[in-house]
Amino acid sequence: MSDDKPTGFVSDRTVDTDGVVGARWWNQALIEADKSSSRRGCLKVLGIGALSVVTCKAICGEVSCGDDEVDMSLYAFESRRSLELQRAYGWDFGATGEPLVFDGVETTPFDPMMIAGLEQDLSPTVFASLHVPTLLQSPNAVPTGRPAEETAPFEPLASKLRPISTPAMQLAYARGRELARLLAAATARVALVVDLPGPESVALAAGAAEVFEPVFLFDNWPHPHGVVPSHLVLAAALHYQPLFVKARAVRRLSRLPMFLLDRARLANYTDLANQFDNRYIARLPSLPAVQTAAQEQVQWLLYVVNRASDLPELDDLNDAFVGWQAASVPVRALSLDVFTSASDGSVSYSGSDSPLPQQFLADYPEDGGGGGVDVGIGIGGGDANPARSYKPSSRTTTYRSGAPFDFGTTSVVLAAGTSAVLGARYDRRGSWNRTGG
Amino acid sequence: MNHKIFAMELCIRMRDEGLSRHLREIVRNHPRTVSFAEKWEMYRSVRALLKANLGDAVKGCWDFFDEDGKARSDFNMWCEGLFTEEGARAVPSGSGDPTRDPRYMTFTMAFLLQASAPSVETLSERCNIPEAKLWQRGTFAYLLEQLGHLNFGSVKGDVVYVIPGADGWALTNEDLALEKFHYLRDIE
Repeated sequence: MSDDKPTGFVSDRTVDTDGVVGARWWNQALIEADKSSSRRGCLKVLGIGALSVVTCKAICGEVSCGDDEVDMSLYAFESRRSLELQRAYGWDFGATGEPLVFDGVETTPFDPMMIAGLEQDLSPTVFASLHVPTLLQSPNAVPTGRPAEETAPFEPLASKLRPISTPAMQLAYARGRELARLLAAATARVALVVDLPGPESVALAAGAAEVFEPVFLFDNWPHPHGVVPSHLVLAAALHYQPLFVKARAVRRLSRLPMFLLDRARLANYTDLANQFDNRYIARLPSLPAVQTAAQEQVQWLLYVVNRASDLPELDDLNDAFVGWQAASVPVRALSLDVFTSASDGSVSYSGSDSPLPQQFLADYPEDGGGGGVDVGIGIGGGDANPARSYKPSSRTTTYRSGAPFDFGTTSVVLAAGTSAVLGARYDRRGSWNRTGG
Repeated sequence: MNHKIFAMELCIRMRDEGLSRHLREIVRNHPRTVSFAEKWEMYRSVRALLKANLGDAVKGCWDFFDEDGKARSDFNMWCEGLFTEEGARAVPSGSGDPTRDPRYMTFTMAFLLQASAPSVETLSERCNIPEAKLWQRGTFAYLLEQLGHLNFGSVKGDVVYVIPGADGWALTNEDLALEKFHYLRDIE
């Protein structure tokens, strides 16, 4: 592209009298394009091939015919918060019509009308003030506009969702039931932070929901190219929705919160050109906020992960955990791989065949004591439950003062003149990506 | 290149000379050579003023045509309205009386658009207004808002003018009754 290509407008006539004031302007680039087009038309009439660029230049005295080049001076680029873009322009911003990929098979009948009630059915009662409704709002959300270059009609996320059930979810559900049973047998006032792959967090919550009140902290929306596959969280939620409703009735006003996170929320990714950064940081509430909502003391906090190697906690939780610990609320960890599965699908804690919770209480006393040394986590070899020695310690993370620069953002293309959002930078359908060749 | 056209004219009852002065200054201060961003910014100011005073608009019209020949000829027609000073008064009208002898100003803008450009196509869709709503005040407000999404890289030419060009030259009820203003519709 030539640097001296004309841009902007030039006025060719103005009027300024007592009767009227006005002017006319012309877009130089489009006037030039019209002239070039006319010359090409002439060349065709003369029988000169369209690809005879050299000849074209010689005859026209032009720099380039440039049919296939994109005039990038028409565009501007900037990063914007991905969630804000989705709220404004649709959950599938820049990927309209592209499918969501679902893992797992759902065999039970599904009533699509259930999606309309998903947010209500899964919102907490006691801990409503701590709930992050973002993800649950996404299925029925309607954008306030569409990108200027988007011509396809908007289809709500709800029309793309369906429930899933995977073996990992089924296992997490069984473990959640057992964990809730063990903790209910104790009288401790425990708050759970469940940090598993999203669908498994939901599944565990469904298993434990008769004892603990689920509090969603999923703070993003799904996207066909999303770094975080949060549509699977919704799909899992749809699968367990009837169970959540049933558990709520049994649970009544539980004052034990269970904060749910998707472990993929901070996922690293490298394919900037093709992925949509819908990552987010956990908005784990402060201890005073939890105490206020619970209207009583929380004695300790249990951080639930799949395996001991998932410890220490993810970076965005460090400050909060250290803060809880400093406020004399012990933060303990549990890796779910200490639960063993029997052939009938039941699970038990650390291989115990007793229905009594003694083994669990030995590892996790009701006062939350028993945490080991500060964890790097140099967990001792041979320990059947190395996570029980976990204890959070302060460390420097990139999330200490919030999300890093460009975290959870997407590059958008703006019209240079108007700053109107044309679309996503990566959208191959956009005119800015229609280069020649 | 094929073309489309969008044009709008509003006739606004003047409470004082402030609005017309402000709009004239915007037009006069718009440089001979301007970038796309400056052009958009100029119309942003215009749109804001017009929207803020839409309650005083008594007549108006707007067009969107997507036939190339019609677009070209209409754009020329709107330009001629400026060059021939067709709508302007030949003599001063004085300041009048706000209740018994009100004064009016008109603001006109027309855009010759590059057909098939995305933001033009979007504008085209959004100008698909039901007949019953064509001349409603809300429709003018809506269209002024939609102009904010226009990519000026896809605007081939634009013309803008304000009547009157000076205090004391505003239009009167008698002026608006002339046949040359019959294209202006009562705003509902």
